[in-house]
Amino acid sequence: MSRPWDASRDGGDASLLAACLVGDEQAWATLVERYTRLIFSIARKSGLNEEDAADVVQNVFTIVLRRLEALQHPERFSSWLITTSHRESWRVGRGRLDTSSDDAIEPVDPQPPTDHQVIELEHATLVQEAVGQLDDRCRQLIESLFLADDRPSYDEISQHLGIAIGSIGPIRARCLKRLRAQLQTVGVVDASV
Amino acid sequence: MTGDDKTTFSDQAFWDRVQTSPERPLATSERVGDEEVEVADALDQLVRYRRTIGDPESSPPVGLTRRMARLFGDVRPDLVIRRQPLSSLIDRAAGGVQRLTASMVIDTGTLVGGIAGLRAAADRRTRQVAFVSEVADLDLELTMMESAGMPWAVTGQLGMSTVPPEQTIWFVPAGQVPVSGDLEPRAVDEAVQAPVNPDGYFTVSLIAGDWVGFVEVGDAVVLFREIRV
Repeated sequence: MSRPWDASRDGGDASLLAACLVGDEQAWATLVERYTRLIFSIARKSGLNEEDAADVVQNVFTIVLRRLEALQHPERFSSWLITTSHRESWRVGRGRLDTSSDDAIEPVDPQPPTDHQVIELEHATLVQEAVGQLDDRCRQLIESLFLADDRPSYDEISQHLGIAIGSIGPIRARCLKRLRAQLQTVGVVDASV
Repeated sequence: MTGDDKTTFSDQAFWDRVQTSPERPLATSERVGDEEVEVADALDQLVRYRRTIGDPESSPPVGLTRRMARLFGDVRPDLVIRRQPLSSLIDRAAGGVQRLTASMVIDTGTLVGGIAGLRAAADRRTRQVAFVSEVADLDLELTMMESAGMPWAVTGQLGMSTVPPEQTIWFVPAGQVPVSGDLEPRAVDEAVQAPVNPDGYFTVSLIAGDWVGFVEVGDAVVLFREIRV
């Protein structure tokens, strides 16, 4: 399965990592916002409970910070992060948490993520980013309609967002079009279609 | 829309939401409204997202992201930019405190062993720069990172008779420091501070550009100018 969005990612994570290296805390906060859900999801799908999954998230981000200067290919940061998250999930699951030494011999994860899993996780990160790039109204509507865990009713969405129920449909359509444009920008959707 | 890779219609939980809009009749898998046809790609990507990390189980606990953001200062205090103005240091430098400008004696990016006209060796990824002054010398090794656009890794050593505790060195963009004349007290943005260990060593990352180093040594402030990264 190809990764048509690789080129569009150049400069995104790499720029943020470069900014982190000169002490830009906002760049770090952006990276955290971008990847917390991804890492947490990997940990949870590895069979860990919420508490252990949160530990994995902290472990992985700690590793990122300690190895900032050593990340040789920042343009492939998301792939590296996915692999690292899998490995840390496996280690926590085995009760062998050790992030105190970067020189420690690391056990080999017997089930590293498949290429398909990595691609799907990278895709998910890009979709999340595209939704995040929408204006507040569209983002909230898209999240309420399609991404909310509790699936609010149209009445609840109408009250929460201040949108007439009869307007939700047309606004949804406009917002989906804008989302599609953002997905084209990040390379998830083919711009030629 | 049909096909194995078109997951939209097989994710009933997701399409239940799409199909229960009150102003539209319930859509079947073979009938979609005009807007759904045009934005089918967006909907497909949302379904795919939801299947990957968009499910409820993947929602991190409230506050986790905020806690992770605070890791930066906890794990890498050396990187945290001190955005407070350097005015106290520059006030002292501009006032009656002794002000010294160190002399550059080596820059392997331009000279070899001090012999004018000869270029540095083939490895331009690492340069050595050295300064001397009456109270403190400075040796720097600047290493270019592999990826374009990444800051340079700078390792340095302050040569002093005794390195006081909590000694720091500041790097300020050269454009914010007067080239000549009296220093003026001012707030300096984008200054980078590095702690110096008891042996005088420090590390810092600097983006490409011209920098000035500041070190306070007793009653003197030493400037290391023309640090070209």
